[in-house]
Amino acid sequence: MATEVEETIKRIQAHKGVMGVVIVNHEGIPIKSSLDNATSVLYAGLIGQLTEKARNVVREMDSTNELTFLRVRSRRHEILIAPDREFILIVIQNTSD
Amino acid sequence: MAPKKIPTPQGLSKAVKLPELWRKSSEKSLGSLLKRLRKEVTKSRANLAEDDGLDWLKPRALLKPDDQEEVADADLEEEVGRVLTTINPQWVADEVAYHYGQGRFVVKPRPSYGKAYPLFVFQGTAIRKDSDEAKAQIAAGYGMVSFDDAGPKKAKVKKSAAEEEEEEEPEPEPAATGEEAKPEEDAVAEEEKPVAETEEPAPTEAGAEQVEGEEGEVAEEAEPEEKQEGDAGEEVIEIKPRVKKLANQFNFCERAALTYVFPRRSVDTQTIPPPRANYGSTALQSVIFDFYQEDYARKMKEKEDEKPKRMRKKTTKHAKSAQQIHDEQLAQRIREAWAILERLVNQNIYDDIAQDYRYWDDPSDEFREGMGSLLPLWKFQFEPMRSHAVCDLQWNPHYQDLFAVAYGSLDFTNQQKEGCLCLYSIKNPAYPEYAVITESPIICLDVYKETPYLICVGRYDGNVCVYNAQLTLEGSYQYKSDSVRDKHSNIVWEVRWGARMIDGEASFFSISGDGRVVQWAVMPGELQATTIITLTSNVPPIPGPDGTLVTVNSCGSCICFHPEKSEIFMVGTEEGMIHTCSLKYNRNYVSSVQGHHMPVYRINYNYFNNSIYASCAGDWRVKIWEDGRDEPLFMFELGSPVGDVKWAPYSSTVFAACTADGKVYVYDLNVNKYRPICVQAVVSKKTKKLTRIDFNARLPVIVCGDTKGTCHVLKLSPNLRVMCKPPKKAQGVDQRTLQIMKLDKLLSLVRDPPFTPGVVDEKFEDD
Repeated sequence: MATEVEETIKRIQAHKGVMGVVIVNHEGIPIKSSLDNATSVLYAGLIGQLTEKARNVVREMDSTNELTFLRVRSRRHEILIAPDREFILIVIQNTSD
Repeated sequence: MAPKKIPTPQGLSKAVKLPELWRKSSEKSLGSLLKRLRKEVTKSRANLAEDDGLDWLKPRALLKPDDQEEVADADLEEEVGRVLTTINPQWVADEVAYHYGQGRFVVKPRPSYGKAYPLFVFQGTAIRKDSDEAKAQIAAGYGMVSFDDAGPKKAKVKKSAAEEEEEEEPEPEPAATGEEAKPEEDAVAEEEKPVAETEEPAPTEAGAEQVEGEEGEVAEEAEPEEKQEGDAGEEVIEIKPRVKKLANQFNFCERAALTYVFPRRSVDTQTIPPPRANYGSTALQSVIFDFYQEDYARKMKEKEDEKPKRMRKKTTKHAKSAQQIHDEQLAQRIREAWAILERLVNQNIYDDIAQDYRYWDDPSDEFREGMGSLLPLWKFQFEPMRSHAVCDLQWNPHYQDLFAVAYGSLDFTNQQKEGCLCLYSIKNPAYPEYAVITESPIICLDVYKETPYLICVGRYDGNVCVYNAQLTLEGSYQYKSDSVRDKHSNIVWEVRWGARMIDGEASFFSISGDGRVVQWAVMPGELQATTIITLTSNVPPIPGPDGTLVTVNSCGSCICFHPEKSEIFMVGTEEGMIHTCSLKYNRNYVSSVQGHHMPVYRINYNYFNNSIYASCAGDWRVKIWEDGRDEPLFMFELGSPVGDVKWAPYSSTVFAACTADGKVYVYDLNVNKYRPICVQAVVSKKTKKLTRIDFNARLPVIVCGDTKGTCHVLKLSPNLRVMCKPPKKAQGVDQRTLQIMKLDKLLSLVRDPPFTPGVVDEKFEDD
C-alpha cells in the first residue's frame, strides 16, 4: 500500500502545473512536503485552520454530513485539499496557464 | 420534759416589715399639694411677665374646664402634710370572716404583708425543717450538733432570718389561729415578757403611733399578732442524739488535681499545587452529535460484551484488533484521498477536454445532412503497456465512466511475455484506477453485469481467470483455471458471462483456438470446466505420422449469446463460419452459415431486435444478419480487416466498426443504407491499428483501442446520435418502441425484394 501511495504522490507531482504536495499530520505539522520548509509550514497552518472552519460549517448544517474535499481556486493557483481526521493532503496546482 | 420555747427576736421580724412604707393620703393633703403647685406656677409666671422678651405671654389666662369644682382660695391655701409610714394605715387588724365549716366567725388570716415590694432576694442554702427534704435528711441521721451532747434533748430549731425572707408566699399558718395559739401562749407567757421589753425601745414606731392617732392603735394591736406569728414560726423538733454531720456549704472538702496539659503546636506543610491549564472550546452541534454517536457505539459494545461467551467467541475469532482495523481504514482513506486528489489535478489539466466532452457539439453537423464526426477526447495509456495491443475493451455496465481494457498482443511472431488488465475512469485519464499485470497476455475480457467488479479474462496461454477489482492486492486473481487439467490448448479468443447455473453459481463461457467452447462454473475457490461443444470442421481426418487419423477441429474465434434465449449462442470460426449452437446439443449446430472468408472477429446482437446481428471479419467486411436467413441483409466492405463491430445502444440502426487501418466507421442504416455516415481516422495507419471499439451505454462516447496500448475516447457528434422523432399519429410513444419500429420499417424494405450480396457490393463505394 505504501508503495502505491508513494507512486500516486510521485505521479501527482509529475503532473502538469503541480507546484507542490504537502502532507500534514493530525497535529498540523507538515510531515512530508515537496516545498521548502517555510512555505510548507505556512500552508499547513493556514489550511489547517481553513479546513477546520469548513468542516464546522458542513457539520453544523448537518451533523451526519462530513467534509470530504476542499478546492480553493485563486487567480494563479488552485489548492486542492483532502481533509481527514488524521491528516490533511494539500496539492498546489498552477492553473493560470 | 416540757418543750422549751425560745422567743423570737422581734427585731428581726420588724426588720422584715420595714419596707412596708405607706403614704398617708387624704383630701387635705391633696389640696395643699395643689395649692403649693399653683403658687409655684404663678410665681414663675410673674417672673416671666417681667421679662420683656416674653411680652406675648401676658394676655394669657389660665384655662380651666367648665366642670371644675370651684374651691375657695382659703381652702386652696391650706397646707397638707404627707408622711411615709412603715405601717399600712388602711390595714384592718382584726378582720374576721364567717367560717361555714366551724359555724362561727374566725379571725381572717392576715397575709404576711400586703403590698410589699421585695427589694432584694437571696436564695439561701437552708431548708425548712418541715419540708420533705429536711425530714428525709433528719431521718437519715443528719442534724445540727451545736448543742451539748448530754443525752437526748428537745432542741428548738430556729429559722434563720434569711429563711424567713425566703418565704415570700403568704403561707397560711394554721398556728396563727387563735384557738391553736392559745395553749402555747399560756405555756410561754412568762418567757414572752423580755421580748415585749425589747420591743418597747423602738422609738420610731412609737413616735409614729403618737403622731397618727388612730393608726397607732392599729399598729399596737398588730403587735401581739406579730408575736403570735413569730411564735408560730418556731417549731419544736425532737433531735436525736446526733451522729452525722449535715453537709452544707461550709462543711465539705474539695479535692482537685491538675492534669498534665500538653503543649500545643501548629505544624504546616505546603503541597505542590495541582497542575492547571486553561481550556477553551466551542460546543458545536456536530461535536455534541459526535459524542452521542460515540456513546451509542460504546453502549452497543457493552451490550455485545454482555452476551454469553460462547456466542461471542465466533465473532472474536475472525475479528481483527481495533488497531489493525484502524490502520486499514486509515490506509484506505489515504489511498482514496490521493486517488481523488489525482483526479482533481487531472480535471484541472484536462479541463478543456472535459468541457468539450460535456458541452461541445460539432456545429457543422447542422449543415452536413446525414453526416457526422467524432471528436477525440482523452487518450488513455498505461506506461508499462506501451508496446502492447488493446486486445479487448468494454465499458463497465454499472459505472458509466469506467471501462476495462485487456492488454495483450496480436503480433504472434513476437509475442509479449505478459499482459495487463486495467480499469480506466474518464475522470482520471493519466492513470488506470486498477491495473494488474498478468504473466500471459490477455486477449479478451468480459465484465459481469450482476457484480461489475468481477471480470473474467481469457489469456494467450489458454487459461481463463476471474479478477475481482475490489481486491486491492495487485496481481491477484480470484479464480484461475487449472493450467494442467482444464485450460484451453490455444488462445482464448473470447469470454462471455452467461446466466447463472441451476444451483446459483455464476458461470462464463470461453471459446478458444482449440475449437472448444467451455463453460466455467465459478465455484468457491475454483473454476469448474464443462466442455459445451467441440467445433468440428469439414476437413476430413488427417492421418498422423504414425497413421492414426487425427480429427481437425475448427478454430473458434468469437462467441455471442442470444440476448433473450440464454442457451442459444453463436460461434464464429477462423474459417469464417458462423455457427448457431445451443447449450442443449453438444454434438451438432443448430444452424451454420458461411458468413465470411476470413476469421470472424465479432458477432454482436442488435439491442432492439433480437433476430438481427452484425458480424465482422478479417475479410474487410461487416455483415448484418437476420436469424434464419443464410444471406446477410447488409454487407459493407471497409477496405481493411475489421477488428470490431458494435451496435449502438441508443439507436436500432446505428453501429460502429473499427478497422486495421486506424479508422472508425459509423453507420446509420436509417440515414444511409450503403455508406457510413462517419468515417474518421483515429490513429495513423502506418504505425497503429484499431483493434476494438465499444459504445458507452449512457454517454455519447465510444472508446476504441489500438495496437500501441492506447485507448481513444471519442465523442459522437449530434448527427451520429439522432433520436427518433415520434410521428404525429403516435405521440408519447417511448423511444425504444420507436427504435424498434424504425428498424422493422427498414427491414421490410430490405427483405423484399430478395437481393443478392452482389447488389450490395455494387452499391458500396469505398472511400
